Amino acid sequence: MTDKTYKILENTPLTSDVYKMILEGDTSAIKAAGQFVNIKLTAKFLRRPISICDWNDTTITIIYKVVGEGTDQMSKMEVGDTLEVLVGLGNGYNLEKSGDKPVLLGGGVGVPPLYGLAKLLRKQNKEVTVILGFNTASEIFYKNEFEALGAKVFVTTVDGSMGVQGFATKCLEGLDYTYYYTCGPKPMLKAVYDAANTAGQLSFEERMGCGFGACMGCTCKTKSGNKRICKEGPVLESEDVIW
Amino acid sequence: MVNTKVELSGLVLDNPVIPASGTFGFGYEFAQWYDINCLGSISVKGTTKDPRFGNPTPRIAETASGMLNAVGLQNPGVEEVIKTELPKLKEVYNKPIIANVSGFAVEDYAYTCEKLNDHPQVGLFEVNISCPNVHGGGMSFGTDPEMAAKVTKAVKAVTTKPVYIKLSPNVTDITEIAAACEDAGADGISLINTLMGMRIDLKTRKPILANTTGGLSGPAIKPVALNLVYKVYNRVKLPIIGMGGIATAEDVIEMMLAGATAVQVGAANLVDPWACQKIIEDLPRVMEKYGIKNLTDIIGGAH
Repeated sequence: MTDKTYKILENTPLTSDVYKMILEGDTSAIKAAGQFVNIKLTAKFLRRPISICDWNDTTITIIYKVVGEGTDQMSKMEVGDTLEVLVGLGNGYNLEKSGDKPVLLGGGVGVPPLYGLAKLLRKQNKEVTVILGFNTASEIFYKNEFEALGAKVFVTTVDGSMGVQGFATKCLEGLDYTYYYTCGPKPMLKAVYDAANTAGQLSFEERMGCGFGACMGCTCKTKSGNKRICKEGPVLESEDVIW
Repeated sequence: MVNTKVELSGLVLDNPVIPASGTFGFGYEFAQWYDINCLGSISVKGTTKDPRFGNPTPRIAETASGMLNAVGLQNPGVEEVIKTELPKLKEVYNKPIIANVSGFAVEDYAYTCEKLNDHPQVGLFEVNISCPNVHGGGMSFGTDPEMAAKVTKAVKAVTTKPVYIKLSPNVTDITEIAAACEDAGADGISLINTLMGMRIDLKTRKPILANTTGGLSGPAIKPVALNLVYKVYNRVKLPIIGMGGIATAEDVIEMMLAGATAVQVGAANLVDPWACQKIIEDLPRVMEKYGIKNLTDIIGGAH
């Protein structure tokens, strides 16, 4: 984990309330897809934990939804502005168990960390299927980006305004896959866990104090003991999860 | 050269800055980020007789200039703390630590303190009779002078190291509780624990915290803490560890002027894991700015 200053290279809306921000700075602390950053904002006391969507040697891409004052302040920041960011938090996804045909299921702002994951899995020439679940057509983002990686992409919308009508799990039916990776709201994670016929990894969300393991604010019980979502998580193996 | 040394009941600290219990774990994880030997001491995670998972989540809610927590004393229990946590801390920290102890009965406090008393790393006890987030214990000992005295006596009877009692601000008159602890033989007073508070989610129309209420900390409570430290300093002759919203070297000096001999830094650690190190590095500059040669000279200086 590092605490450094990052310069905003891009901060653009992808939908009416979802933004993509590219930060320039030290990315050496990032070890895995599915890790997150924790951003200091003048508007709020606690930092804002946001998952890492993509990264390279000099930039970090995050995708965030405006849900309150903190993310609202972020959305109003301009190119060239700087942010204090803790980088390289959490465990991230483990690629070793993916098998040849992993499926990735993302719901809403749970989609972004799966992009970095899909990129790594495609580099290993895995046959990657991605299922992106949204409420409605106007909320959809990053479909083309996943396709550009060479992944097979399905989109579901709850209202049926685009793609398959229903939840992301609907596209699991009849799909041939070796392992799953998912990120999204807790009811979605549970639905994926119940519907999947393989083991997998699930990225959980929890209200955090520090984001680096100090406050015990986000502890959950698992089959292998207590785990801090910010430190031993956010990614848990399906075998460990207690609902 | 300025002198930042202070003394708590015979325990000399290189500086008065101590991470507060519950915001620093058992310390060793912070050693990945900086050499924690710069710290005056460390008040480690509140320890109980038996292991505790704590409260269900959400345990954290943000507030203006602060936060609420309702962790509920998650800890592995005193046996495991001695077996696993303190040895890990020993590898990266070579100064005496403050053992923060909680309980649900007077006997629990005595049991846990007795177990820790002979531990060479423990330099001082901080007995928490003020946790607002556990039921049937914790704060209920800290809101009644008689109960506070009972806990103090029970712990003093089984320990040979200085015993500081950590008080709750959630009382009508904190000075009465402090005086009861002093009369019962306490070596010092530690204050303040968090203030009870609540946040409500407008969408669900229910409290955000699973525990309904939580403890407020952060810069929002600094004026409350200063006032109570000032009052307790007037009432008792014991050294005081002051805490509540400390985030800068200026805050340290302000708290010492109110009457604290040492200070603890809590919520600030959660926003910036390097907070204590930065405060310690900045302290000599701020001392020089305000013409302070020896930090001990300013203790209670506002009176």
